[in-house]
Amino acid sequence: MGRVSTVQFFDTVQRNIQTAKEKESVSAEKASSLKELSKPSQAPAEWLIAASQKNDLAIREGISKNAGVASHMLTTTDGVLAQAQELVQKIHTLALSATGNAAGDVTKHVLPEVKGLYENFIQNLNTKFGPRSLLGGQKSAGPAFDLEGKFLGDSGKIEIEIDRGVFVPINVSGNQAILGEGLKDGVNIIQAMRDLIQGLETHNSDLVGGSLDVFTKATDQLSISRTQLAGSSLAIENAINRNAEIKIDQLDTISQIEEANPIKVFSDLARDQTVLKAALDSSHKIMSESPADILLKS
Amino acid sequence: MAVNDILELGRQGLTSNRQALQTTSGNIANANTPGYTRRRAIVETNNLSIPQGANMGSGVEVKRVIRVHDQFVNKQIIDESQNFGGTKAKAENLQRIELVTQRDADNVNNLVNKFFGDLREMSLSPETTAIRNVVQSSGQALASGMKSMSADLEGMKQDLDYRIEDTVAQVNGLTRELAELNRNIMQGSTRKDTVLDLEDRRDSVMRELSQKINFQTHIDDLGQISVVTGGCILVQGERSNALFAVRTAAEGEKGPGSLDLFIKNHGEGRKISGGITDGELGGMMHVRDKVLNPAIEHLDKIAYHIATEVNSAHQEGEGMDGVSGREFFKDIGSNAQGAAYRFDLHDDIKSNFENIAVGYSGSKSGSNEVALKMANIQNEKGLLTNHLGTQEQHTINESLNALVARVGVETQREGNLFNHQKDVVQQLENYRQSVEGVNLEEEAVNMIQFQTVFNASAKAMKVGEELFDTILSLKN
Repeated sequence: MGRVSTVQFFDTVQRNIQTAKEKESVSAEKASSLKELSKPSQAPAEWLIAASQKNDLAIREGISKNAGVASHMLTTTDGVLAQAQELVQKIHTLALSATGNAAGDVTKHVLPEVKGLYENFIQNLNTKFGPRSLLGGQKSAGPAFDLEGKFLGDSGKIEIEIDRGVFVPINVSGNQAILGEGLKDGVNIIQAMRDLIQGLETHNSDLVGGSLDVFTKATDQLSISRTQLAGSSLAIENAINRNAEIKIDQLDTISQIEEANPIKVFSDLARDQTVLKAALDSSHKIMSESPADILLKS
Repeated sequence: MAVNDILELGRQGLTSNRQALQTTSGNIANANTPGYTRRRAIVETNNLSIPQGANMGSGVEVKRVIRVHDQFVNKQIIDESQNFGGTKAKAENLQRIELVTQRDADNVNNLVNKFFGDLREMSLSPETTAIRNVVQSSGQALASGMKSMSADLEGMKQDLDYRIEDTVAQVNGLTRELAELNRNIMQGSTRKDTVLDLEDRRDSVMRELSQKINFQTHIDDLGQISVVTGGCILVQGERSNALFAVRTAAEGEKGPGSLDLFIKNHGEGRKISGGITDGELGGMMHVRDKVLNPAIEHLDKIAYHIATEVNSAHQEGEGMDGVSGREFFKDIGSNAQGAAYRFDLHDDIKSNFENIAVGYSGSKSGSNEVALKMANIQNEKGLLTNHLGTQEQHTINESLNALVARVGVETQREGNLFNHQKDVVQQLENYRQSVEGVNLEEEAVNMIQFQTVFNASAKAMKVGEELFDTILSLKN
């Protein structure tokens, strides 16, 4: 160390205090926010990872929320088809009891019950989830079937995104499930019910007997559609679970990158406050009486 | 030696030590004056005034007062200060830009997530008319966010141009002063006047100028300093050439309407922007052309991508009135330049949210293919953008983050360079201070030393006077 000018001496004091103050300020900011990383320039690559995870998290949260709603929709649709199966079985049983006895007393009791069940069946098929008629395909605003059993919807598929870029259908069209269109050996369940009613009304045992085979196949046909729904439900449940797991990992990653360790932060703050106090104390002592003062007093 | 000579020697002792004390007092008075270089009185023996008594005792005189000055360290400070000024301007401006870019990109990222999230929700509930209203609002909000970020980036460019203009004015003031100091120093030297204060001021001006602009210097035989930047003369002798800034068309990395720098020489303007690579001016132009312009270009690409991709998907579908082919966002044009600022909802969508296409068929309330397709644009890596120095295919969010990270990398690098350069200049300045600065202890000792000799000289005169008295009393 060579010669030290007076300005240099005071500059050093200023710098020491300034440096200690800056460090204390950084530590205080960290302590108040408990954030280790608040600006990209602190660690650009890490910041990029955290930012990417935050975006992905936000997108997945939206997708999962939609998937949750779709899952309820699928459960409701499955409920409709299960109910339809039950009604078909009941009508099938009634049809069996009326077989060979189309002209007998049984018919008198069976016909009104079958008619009632048929109406229940149509009402069930027109079940809505919010504004959507579940079996109407893409023409989902109105009922899927009219009371005569005419299909009013279409065979359009409705898909939703259940994971980023992954889509699954969330509907089964009445066209397929009830009318059997597009299926190998598909049967028209409504037509069979209407044939049964007509057979009972006209005491036509051929029509009544002819419907029995359809009802047997109808149960399987409804099961096929329920299986399709179950496939979508499973995919959605898996996606929701996967997203929940990813969310935990992402929150953990973001926390590791961004959050400060409280113990370290507060010990750093205490250290920096001590350093600042020491810098102020020592500066005070240094400046209180300089050698020049002593010389000039003499 | 005559008794008379004793009185003369005493007189010289008194005079030279008074002058030395005067120099010391000047040093003490200026101990805190910025740019002041301590003075030292050069005291030499004075044989000539007492030729016959040379071997009996010499006189003394203050030959001259000099500045204790280290030309080499001053040159180093000037060289390093140019770099320091450049990194300082870069680091300080980048810190501001980073804050604004991070805040705006966060906002745009959230708005992108909201817009595409609403499109997904619309795909889930295509029958709900109200959701179209929500998508309309979030599309409008996204457009506002884009515009606002674009305006902020352009605003920071404007701000830098104002600062550049201001710095140019400062540079011109300093070069004018330098030319004047050159003249005064030369005139003073010719008249043998003291020019030490002028030289101090000239060194200070040079150091100040070196933080503003990069240059080379040359000192001629007359002691006049010439300053050359970008191959053009800023100061030569008593003449200075002024810089001026003009808004010009886009060229290279410089955006349209940004300032270019010219120098006036013999009434003509010569462009020198390319030669200004350092100092605050070089640093600010670097940030403007190499950070802000690419960031604006980057944001434009994102806006262009969103508008064209969403429009392309939207045109495939039908609104509730069964009309297809409508654009969702306004036609963004055939190139991306300025796309972020032009980014806006199409009037058809702005005027009626029922014109938003959710599916291929407007009459089928459950048709949601278009909404799905539009929402999926957020997942596609269809944007070729710069990612920490390399070109990569990105999603919209990744691209926005890459924009901020790029500014972050620049800020980090320039911040580190600034801290390093600050230390370098600080060390050099310390060294300069240690050589040129006033040390009060030293001056206090000098003062005592000169005062002691002054008192002793007075005593010698007193003795001389007594000798005279003794001699005169012999006659009686």
